[in-house]
Amino acid sequence: MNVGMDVGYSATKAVAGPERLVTFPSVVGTPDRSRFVVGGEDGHIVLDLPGDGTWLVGEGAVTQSRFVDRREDRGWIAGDAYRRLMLAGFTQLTTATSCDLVVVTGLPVAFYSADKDALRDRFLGQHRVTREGRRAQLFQVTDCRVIPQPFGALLAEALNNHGKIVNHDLATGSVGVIDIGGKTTNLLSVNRLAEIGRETASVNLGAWDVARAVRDHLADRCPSLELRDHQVIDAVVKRAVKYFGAPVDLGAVIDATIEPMADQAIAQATQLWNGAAGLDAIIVAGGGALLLGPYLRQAFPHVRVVDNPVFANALGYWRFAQRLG
Amino acid sequence: MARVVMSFALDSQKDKRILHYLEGLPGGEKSKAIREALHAHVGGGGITLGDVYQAVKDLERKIGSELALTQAGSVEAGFHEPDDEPPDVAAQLNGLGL
Repeated sequence: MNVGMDVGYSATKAVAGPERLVTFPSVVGTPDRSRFVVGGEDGHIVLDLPGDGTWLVGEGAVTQSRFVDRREDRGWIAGDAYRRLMLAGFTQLTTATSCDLVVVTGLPVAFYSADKDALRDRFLGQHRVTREGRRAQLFQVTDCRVIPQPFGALLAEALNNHGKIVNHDLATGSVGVIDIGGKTTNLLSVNRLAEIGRETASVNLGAWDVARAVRDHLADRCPSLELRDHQVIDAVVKRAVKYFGAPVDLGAVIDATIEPMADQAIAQATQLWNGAAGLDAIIVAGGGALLLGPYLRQAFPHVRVVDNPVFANALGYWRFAQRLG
Repeated sequence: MARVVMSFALDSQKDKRILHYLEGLPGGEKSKAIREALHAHVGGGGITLGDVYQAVKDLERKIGSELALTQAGSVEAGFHEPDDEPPDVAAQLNGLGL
C-alpha cells in the first residue's frame, strides 16, 4: 500500500487513495477507561504499542484524556508522540493484519536537510500495533521518501493518481508555493520541479497564531470558558463560541489577527521572490490557506488556493508514492 | 507491488460449504481461490471506481488540451499525455527526497 502522511503540529493527515483520506487532531493522551467505551465501538483510536503502553489518539484524546501531549517544537519527530500519531494514521487507513507500505512524508523547509534522514529512519522498518477492537497489525515500511513539505501541494496539482505528470504548466514552469501550517509557513520556489534554494524559506507564523489571539481574547471576554487547543481552532473555524449558551462573535478579533499575518507572509514572499511577478503561478495550501488566501490574492493576482488545502500535502505525497511504488 | 495480508471470518455452520471447499484446496491455493472469487464478484479485473474516475479525468484533460492546441495553434495548454514527461523534469521528480 502506498501512503502519503502529513503529521502536522495541529492535525495528522494520511492518504492511501483518492477516496482514502483520513485526518485527526495531532493529540495523544492517556486513556481514561471509565470515560470511553472499551472495544473501540465509539470510534476512538486506542492504540496498544509493545513497550510503549496504551494511548488514546486524535479526537478521543481531545475530549476524553486527562493528560494530553501536543508539541510544537522541531524535536518532536524524534519523540514518542510522533510515532504514536504515525501508527494511528496507518491503522486509520487499513485494518489489514500485515501490510507492506511505501511512505512519502514531509518536513518544513527550514529543517529539511538536517532532519530528513532521521525522519526516514523513524518510518522505515517494522511497526507492531494493536488497536482496540481489532486484531494486531504489522506494518512493514519498505521504502520512505521525505520531501520538503510544500512540494506536497505542488505534486498534488501536477501529478495524477498514478503519479504521472499531467499538469505541464506547473511541472515545467516557475512556481511559488505558500504552505500555511499550524505553526510554520513554508515558502518554496521551483523551476521545472527543481527547488531554488535561495528562494525558499520558513516563517514562524501559522494558524495557531490566530488561535492564540482568540484564546487571549476569550480569557478577557469569557473568563469562565476553558477551551483546549483544538476547541479554540474549532471556534476560529466557526468564528464564534458559546458562553453560557449565548453566542460570542469572534469575527473581529480573527480578522484583526489575520491581516498582519498576511502582511508578513506577503512581505516575505515579495522579498524572497523579487516581487513574484516572474513566477508563472503561486499555489497556496495548508490549514491556514482559506484564512490568508484572500489577502494573498490581493497582493499577487496569480495566487490560487488549492481545492482541498488541508489535505493537499498528504495527497501530493501519496501521488508521489504512487510513482515510486 | 506491496503484499497485503487480510483475515476474514467464517461461520462453521452457515459457511460450511465454503470451508469444505477451502480445506480441500492444496497448500498455497486458498488465497488465489479467494482472490479469483472476489474479482469475479466485484468485476472489472480489480479496477476500482476511483481508477475509472481518474481515467475519465485524464481523458477530459487530454481532450481539453488538444482542443486548446487546435484552437490556439500553440503549445500553451496545461495538460498533456501522462507519458509525455520532459526527461529532465521526470529525473528531477524521481530524485526528490533522495
